[in-house]
Amino acid sequence: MTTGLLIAIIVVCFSFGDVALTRGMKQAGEVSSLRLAVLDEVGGRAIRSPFVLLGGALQIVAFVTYLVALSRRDLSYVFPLTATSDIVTTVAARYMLHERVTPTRWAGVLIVSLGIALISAS
Amino acid sequence: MRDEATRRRIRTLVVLTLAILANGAGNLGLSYGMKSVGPPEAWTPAGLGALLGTALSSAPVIAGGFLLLIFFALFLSLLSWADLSYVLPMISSCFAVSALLGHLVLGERISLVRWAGIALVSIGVLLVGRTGPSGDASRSPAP
Repeated sequence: MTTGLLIAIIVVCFSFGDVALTRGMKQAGEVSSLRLAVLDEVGGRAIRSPFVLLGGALQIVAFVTYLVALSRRDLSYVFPLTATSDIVTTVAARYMLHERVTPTRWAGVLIVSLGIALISAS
Repeated sequence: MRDEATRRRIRTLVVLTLAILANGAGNLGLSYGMKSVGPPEAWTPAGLGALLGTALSSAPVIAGGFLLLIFFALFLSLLSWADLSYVLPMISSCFAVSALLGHLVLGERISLVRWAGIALVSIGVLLVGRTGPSGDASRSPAP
């Protein structure tokens, strides 16, 4: 398997994993305070949510694939490429979760991703 | 409703800060602990299993793993009310925080390119922060 394919799997699993986790947590209800009763109630619904479980499973697949990619190439090569997952996730949040991504937020996401790529590539 | 929006904004910033600190400290613990554990003897299931066994007997690794679990719980809590497209870039700022901590605490040298990256991440976080935790107009009306 080529490193490019591994990175594609990492990006897709991280992005769709985050989308699934978000959908599941929105359904589980708002963590309106850090009181134990609230955490227990929302947490109980979260760990039974199919979306949260799917999201968690995708994150594990992404992480294991990330370790495999790291065993073949340097961190400074793999990591900046996986930083593009933030951009893919934002597109997915816009179209799959119908979040309102304003031009300001888009600019911020692009600048943060570029910054992470610079930090990890050097 | 404005009070509710303000309270949610403050809660978002508090939980974000805790999440970034838990992530930074957790990774520090894992990194410190795994250095003494060493690399796996082979990238096979048996080799990785042996590595896991050694890692789980290291106190810094266990503490780091526990902090990362706390980070994940805080991340999920944020997603229960805030936009994913808001939370993700804010959480990503932990890379800049780690680089700065490495410089300030461990005295690591930071290259010019890396300083530029830290500056970009900071600018990006300020921009995303201005958009508020939820861009959903029906839930947080403009004042």
